[in-house]
Amino acid sequence: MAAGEEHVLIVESDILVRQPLANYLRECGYKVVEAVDAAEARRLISEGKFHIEVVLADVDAGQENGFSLAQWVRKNHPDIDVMLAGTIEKATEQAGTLCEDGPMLTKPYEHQLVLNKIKHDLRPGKEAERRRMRVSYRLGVRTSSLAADRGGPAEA
Amino acid sequence: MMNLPEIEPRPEEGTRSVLIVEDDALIRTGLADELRDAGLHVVEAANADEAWTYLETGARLDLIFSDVQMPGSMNGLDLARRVKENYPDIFFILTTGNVGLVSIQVLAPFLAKPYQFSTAVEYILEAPKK
Repeated sequence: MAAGEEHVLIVESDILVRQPLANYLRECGYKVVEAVDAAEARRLISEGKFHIEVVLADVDAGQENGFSLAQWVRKNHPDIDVMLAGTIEKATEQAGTLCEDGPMLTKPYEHQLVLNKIKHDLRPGKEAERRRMRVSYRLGVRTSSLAADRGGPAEA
Repeated sequence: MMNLPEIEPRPEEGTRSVLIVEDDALIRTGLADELRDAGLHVVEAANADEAWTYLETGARLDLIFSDVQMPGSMNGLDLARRVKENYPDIFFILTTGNVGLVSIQVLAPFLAKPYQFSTAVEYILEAPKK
């Protein structure tokens, strides 16, 4: 990718994760567009104002999951690469890889430092709590669906 | 406690840090892009709750430019009140298409929607430094 032209679209619902990742990639020389969920991501890609070449998305990209967003991108914009991350660690690793492959010859800092910053801002236990809430939500949806399939009461 | 390395691009001396709070992704990303091109350090929040979460980290901010009507537990007016009370050094600008809200002008300087990005950038650049 040529310097200054490539846009990375970050899809992440948590500002304390999204913002440091976006800044990290900007420091690496990328132009970065930020979306809080898959719906915003699809709108930004469809609108075409930014030349997006890579999508770095959380697996839980809001109400629509990251896999669904990835499928949509591959079907409608096959020229765009999609990187999915299920954890903050994975997201920072992928951002680090982008920096290594990116337009600047030297990367300003290791992805581990970004991870440290994110964990610091999230404060101890808070990230785990957020992830647990997401899992509970997903399990809740599945439980409701299964209960409905069995004809039983739907429990959240 | 271990000192964390600086991993965010620190605004150069005199560079202002601006937080854009806007739930419309096209407006938020478009305005943020223009402000970065103008040399500002820009943080993007999609609603007032996100903005508050960011503020609570203690990150330095000079100015907040916020929409009024947004999803979440707070709207832009609530955010403006909380920022005035807790972070009085941050300059706050509100924007909305609902210009009938009389309480806006009392709370903060105000830019009517729809606006051109260039107008908003000029408005933000000309805001007095606290």
